[in-house]
Amino acid sequence: MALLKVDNLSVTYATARGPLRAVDQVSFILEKGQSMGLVGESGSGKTTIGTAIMGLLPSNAEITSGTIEFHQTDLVSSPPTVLQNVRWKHIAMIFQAAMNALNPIQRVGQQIAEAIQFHEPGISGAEAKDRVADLFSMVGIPGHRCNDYPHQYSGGMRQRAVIAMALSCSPDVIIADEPTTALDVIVQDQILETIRSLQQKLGIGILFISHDISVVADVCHMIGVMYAGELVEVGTREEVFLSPAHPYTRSLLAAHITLSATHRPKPIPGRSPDLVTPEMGCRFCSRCDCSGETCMIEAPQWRILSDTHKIKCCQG
Amino acid sequence: MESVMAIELDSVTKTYPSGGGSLNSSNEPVVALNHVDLTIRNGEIFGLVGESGSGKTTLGRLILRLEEPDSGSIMVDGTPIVTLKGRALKHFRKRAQMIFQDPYQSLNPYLSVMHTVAEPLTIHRANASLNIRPKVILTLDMVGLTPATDFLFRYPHQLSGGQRQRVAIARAMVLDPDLVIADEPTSMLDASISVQIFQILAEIQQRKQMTLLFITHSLAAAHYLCDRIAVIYHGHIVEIGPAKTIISRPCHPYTRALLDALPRFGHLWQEKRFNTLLTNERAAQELDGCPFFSRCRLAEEEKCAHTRPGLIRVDTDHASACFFAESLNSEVIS
Repeated sequence: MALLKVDNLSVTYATARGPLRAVDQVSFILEKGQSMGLVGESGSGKTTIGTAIMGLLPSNAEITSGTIEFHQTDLVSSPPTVLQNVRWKHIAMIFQAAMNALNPIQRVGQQIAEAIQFHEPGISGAEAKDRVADLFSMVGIPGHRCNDYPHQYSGGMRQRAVIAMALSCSPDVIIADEPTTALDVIVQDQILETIRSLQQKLGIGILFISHDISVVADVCHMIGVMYAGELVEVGTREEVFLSPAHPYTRSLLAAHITLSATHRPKPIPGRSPDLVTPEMGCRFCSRCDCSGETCMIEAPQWRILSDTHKIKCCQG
Repeated sequence: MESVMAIELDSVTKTYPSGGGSLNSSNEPVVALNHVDLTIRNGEIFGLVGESGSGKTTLGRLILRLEEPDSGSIMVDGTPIVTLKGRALKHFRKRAQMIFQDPYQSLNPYLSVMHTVAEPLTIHRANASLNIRPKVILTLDMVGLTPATDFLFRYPHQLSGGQRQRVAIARAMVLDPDLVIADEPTSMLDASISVQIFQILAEIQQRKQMTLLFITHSLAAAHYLCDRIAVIYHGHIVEIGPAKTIISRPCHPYTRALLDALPRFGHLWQEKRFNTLLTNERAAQELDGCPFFSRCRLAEEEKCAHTRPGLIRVDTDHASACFFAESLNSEVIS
């Protein structure tokens, strides 16, 4: 069952040089109880999608087309009051910089209790406190640390606290925007494990945004690869990692540094196109090693490879 | 005649006073480096791998004499760097350069690329006859900012993250240093850009035959770039050896934990190989025990809690600071 359906979404930023189309006709479905990864380089539009779903786009951004359907309600055309109701209670977000997401002068437990009481006014202080204790044990923070301030936490614990906060109102969907980027490998591994097991246990849908293709492979059932504002490949993680079909996905995998003795990482030549003045044909064309003449003129259409796997590429 | 630099650290210790603000009750100093012995050889690419707070950046700063150790000695080409003064110190500064982590902060936003890269040349009046502009252009070419003339008068805000880091590399390389310390030079960059930066560093190192100390939290990156690797944990070097050996025959439980923690990509969705990390950490430990004791699954109370293991040689060029190093080395690793 589709939990969240993003259809034909385009987001444009007003910049000094003209409108910049950061997200261009992106469609995907997040199924109930599944995790979907959005992966791409910086500037590919993945974070913009996350903030658009949350209704938290900056003031110079505008949704120029498309719908974001959640429980049969279109969030794009809904009035702010509806959005406010959905936000956090039904769709929560884990932000990248955990330190900035927490209030430095309030005890961590209190902050989370406050968030619960704000969204569920019927709950008493004692009940909220109990809920916080449950949440802490769920994300693996020792209960006695709930009276600490954020600066007394390590980076990993802060990230756990932010996850607890996202879970505080039992949302159906969590958008996790680079939740482990600032963390050490061991801590990252533990946080990913926590996210993975909570996702399974609670059956929430997770939209996982990351520039690190290996992290996405570790957590997500489905993967969408973004390039220059467009989705270019969607598939199960097995499909995308074992038989990547889009040249960009293949380059992205080839550029990844692994421990394998046989894999020599290869950088992707060139750079992402300017989204204020995008070229006509395929946006990856100038960096692609298998582009043909049609690629420069024709915008590629979706090509279906299996029930779950599709790519936006002109080349066979 | 000097060519490249060899660095020798002998029992180097560095502590910092802890914050000690009104919110911090303990006044125990923080030990950033604890009796570190380390030799970085002439002209090698040496990787220093550790988590944040492990002391890896401190070690880099000590080698460049941006800070002084509490005790122990640091020798560069046989001369203790604490004794350097005046012209000798300035000369050392010229020979040893640093590339910082964050190219968004390490470049002065008010200076053009030309100005940034030329500044070290002006400061050191490198070779009065040398024309500064051609040298800057040559260096920009070397780091792949081509055509260089397109970049000379740009400012940092007009550059992408990868381009900024190239400018930072050019600034470090323009004096043809004998030692370069790169402190997490790609942690702010995308994967494909990181590979480009690594390739540039490796190429320049090859061409100029310099010593390169690469500080990183990623074993995979160190393995890709380095000849030898040292793994540092809480201010202790816990394992050191050739990069290939560290990956194929890790002999310290912490190194194994780092390998386990890498996203299981490439060997998709297999279980952890080593499982050396305790799920529930032990309570605080004695100061003189093994630094990894509280998190180590292999640790034995009577051995590891009270005595700190020194580096034990397991092979000609490979050592591990673990009481079980020998048996870990003889294990068959699948």
